[in-house]
Amino acid sequence: MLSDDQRKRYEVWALAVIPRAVAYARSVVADPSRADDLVQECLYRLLRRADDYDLERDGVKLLFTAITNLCINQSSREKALISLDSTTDPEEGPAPIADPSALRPDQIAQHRETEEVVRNAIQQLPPLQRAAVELRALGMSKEEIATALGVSATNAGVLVFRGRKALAILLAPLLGNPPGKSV
Amino acid sequence: MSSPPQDPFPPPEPGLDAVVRATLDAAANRTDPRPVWNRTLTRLEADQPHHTPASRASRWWRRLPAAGLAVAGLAAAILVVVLLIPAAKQAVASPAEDVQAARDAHEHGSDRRYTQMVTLTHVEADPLAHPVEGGRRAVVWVRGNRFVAQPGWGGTGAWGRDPVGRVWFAPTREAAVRYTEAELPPAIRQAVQIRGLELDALLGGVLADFDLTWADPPTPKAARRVVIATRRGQASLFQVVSAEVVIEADSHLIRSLTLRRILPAGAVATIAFELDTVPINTPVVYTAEGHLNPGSPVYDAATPIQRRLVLRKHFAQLMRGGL
Repeated sequence: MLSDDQRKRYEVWALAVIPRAVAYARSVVADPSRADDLVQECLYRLLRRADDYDLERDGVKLLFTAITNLCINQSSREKALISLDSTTDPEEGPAPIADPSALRPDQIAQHRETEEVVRNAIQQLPPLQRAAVELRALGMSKEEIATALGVSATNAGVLVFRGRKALAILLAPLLGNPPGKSV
Repeated sequence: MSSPPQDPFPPPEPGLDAVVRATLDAAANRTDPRPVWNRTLTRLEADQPHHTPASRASRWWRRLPAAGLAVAGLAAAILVVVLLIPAAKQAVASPAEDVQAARDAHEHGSDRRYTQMVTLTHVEADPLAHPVEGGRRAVVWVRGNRFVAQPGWGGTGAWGRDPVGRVWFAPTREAAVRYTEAELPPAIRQAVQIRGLELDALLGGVLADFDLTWADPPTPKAARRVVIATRRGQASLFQVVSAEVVIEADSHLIRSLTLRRILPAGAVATIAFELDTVPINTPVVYTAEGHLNPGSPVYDAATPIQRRLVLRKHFAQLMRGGL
């Protein structure tokens, strides 16, 4: 049996992490109805070995890496890596986005239908770009995203850049910016 | 541990990252982490005892002296024991292991058809109090977490959950409505889970929150085993308070499932599922489109007004016609 201390520690951590893990899994998995099961499986594997690492420091990174591995299939990964070879985007600097003053994220997310528009736009990104953009939004560094996606740090930067760029175009009407200006 | 935990996710950069994060957070806020955690905890705790006896046995064997005679004597003794105690030592799983095996078998199984029967107490006193429990007898097809029930609420049409987890209602063949799980109020979501025979979620809850016992002491030759599940502590409104699961010993197929659920005004709904056959169905029956005339619309979050009108019309008819 787990000790009371272990159980409490795991529970506090898990309840704080599960909602965003499920939201992320539902966004990147091919079959969203399986997202809860995938998160549960990853969480179980992670906590089974929780004594081997620092849960509070590394748990989120390890969990999201495991979810990403389970959610994104090998074929989409290979396809995305081929397309990355021909890009020079990282040299162009940070991704140009819509006018930041027009972005009011709290208000944007308030209304479900607006949220739906943003979610649909995210869904239009290729799986690896989608995962990269969402992991970045969850506060992960380029190196952590690279580990989660199993790519180099440079490729992770490219994926974030391209994802943001595509998203800026897709969301230009919502953000009050003409498409031409945002790229 | 009593202090609130720090948010393990750093704030995003302003701009697009913040928009994406706000969308993820909105979805996260609608997610109840308890079911996932409870199922995980059940598995973690179920894991613990399994290792100790096995590893202890292994070490014990390694410590045995290598004397061939002793080993041969021990082997003979074991043989005698096995022969003298024929069936009793064929391990019968615990109730929890049986329920978990049934859950796994369901997840990987094909289409199954159950007859669903709902009985209510006190409904005569307040027939309008439990509209979601209307429709006393229905046929429910399930495949993993997708399902379709016919007739639907109020005895017409069909309703179900499609392969991507959306819940739909097709009261007639003229129009249907569809909701993502996040759009459903908790009480309706629970009703969907129970009436749609979402076995994975139901059995996960049973493993996490219920005390499990055998109805009768199981024997290895029994074709079926009956597990009685009783909720630990007080059940709140709309929750399942007890369950009886009949599981086939060989295939782990669930032959029947009876759930007792608390409703308003002290009423109790008993929902019984009985396996009919094990046929194959076509995937389209699990979608709203499979129950409509060609070209008929399915209204969802993009058309909220039409969606509300279809449901309102159906429930108005339901109330007028009685439950």
